[in-house]
Amino acid sequence: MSESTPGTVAFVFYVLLFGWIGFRRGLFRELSVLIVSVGGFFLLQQNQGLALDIVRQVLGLLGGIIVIGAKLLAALRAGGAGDEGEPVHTLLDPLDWLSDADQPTVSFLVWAGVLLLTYILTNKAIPDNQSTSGLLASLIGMGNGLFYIPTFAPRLFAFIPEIGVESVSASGSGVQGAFGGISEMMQSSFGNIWATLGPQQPVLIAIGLTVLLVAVISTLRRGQT
Amino acid sequence: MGLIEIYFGSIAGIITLIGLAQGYARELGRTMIIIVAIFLLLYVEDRLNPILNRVWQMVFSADEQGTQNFFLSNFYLVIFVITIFAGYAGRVISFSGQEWPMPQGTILSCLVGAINGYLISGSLWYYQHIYGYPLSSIGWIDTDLSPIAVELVRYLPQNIMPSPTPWVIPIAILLLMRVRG
Repeated sequence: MSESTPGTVAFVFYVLLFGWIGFRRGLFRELSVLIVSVGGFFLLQQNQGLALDIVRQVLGLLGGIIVIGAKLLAALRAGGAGDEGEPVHTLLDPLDWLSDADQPTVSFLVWAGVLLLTYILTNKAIPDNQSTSGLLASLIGMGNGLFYIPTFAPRLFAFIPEIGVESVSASGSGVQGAFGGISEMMQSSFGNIWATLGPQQPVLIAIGLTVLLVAVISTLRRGQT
Repeated sequence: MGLIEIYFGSIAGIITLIGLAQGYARELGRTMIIIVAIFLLLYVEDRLNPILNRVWQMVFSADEQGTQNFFLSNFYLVIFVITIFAGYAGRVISFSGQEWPMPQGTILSCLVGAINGYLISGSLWYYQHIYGYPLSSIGWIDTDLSPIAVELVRYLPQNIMPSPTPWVIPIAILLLMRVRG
């Protein structure tokens, strides 16, 4: 048994787990998640400043509500209005603890939040009969799982110095930036695995294409034409 | 974005829209035809090129590499286009059954159409690329490839599966599925 065997087994289990999740949740739900996760990720990578501004404004609004509430509470207790320079106000100013250097972290957190919300909303909003289970749903589920490896893994295991998976960031702007980001992600995360397959790569691509086509054919319902 | 990816991207986009309009049950039969065409051309290319070169030299008494590439590229292009046209205009192997309703059926039609678009426009691009973009000599293609185009060339169908043998896998499995009914 080679050193890489546990890693390979873990990878296979991981992919199978997402395949199973895809099968359970169905095609439409998984496809919605895929669109939101991939599209949202690259959109946020391109507009990190905008994401930070929005988060600052939302937090500022929430902070303002809390400050007003605190002042109201203080006024009720003391019988007068509180001052502008109260400690609670300075503590809740988002500009103090969200600097421009936090742009990547904020955009990632926004993306993760949107992704979580998409999982929950698609479960609630899309009925079971609209999101059919099957091989194709499993494949899309696996696709989702594979996309999460280079996006989540480096952040989850940041304390391990040589995790072997690099963080993804889209370089440049527009279509070229997004394409560069996707290409970089594919190479950084799957490049090593892919390289070890060597001459078997074309056969695996052919098998992948075949599985995809068979999955589509399997959706044709029998008994009716 | 450079001109060449707009050309071939537009072709892929139009074929995707055709797939969307036709439905994936029909498009799957065409996918088979496209894969068969890719397989056949890859299979005969190495064997046929010396013969075609000799015929070209006999007929035109010309030994210039540029004109020979122009001839070879257009020969494969015409054969491929005729095969694809036959697939779209004529009858193809069809898979029985009823398609999924909207929106899932539409997504699948789009997906299969996109696969066909990739295979067709990718093959057309490939036969330009390996013969040095001969259509540029008549001003149809700009050979100054952008970084995106250079990257995309690596993912053309015949570049990711250069040998004809792996192309037999989807053909064989789809035929087996069709025979099974």
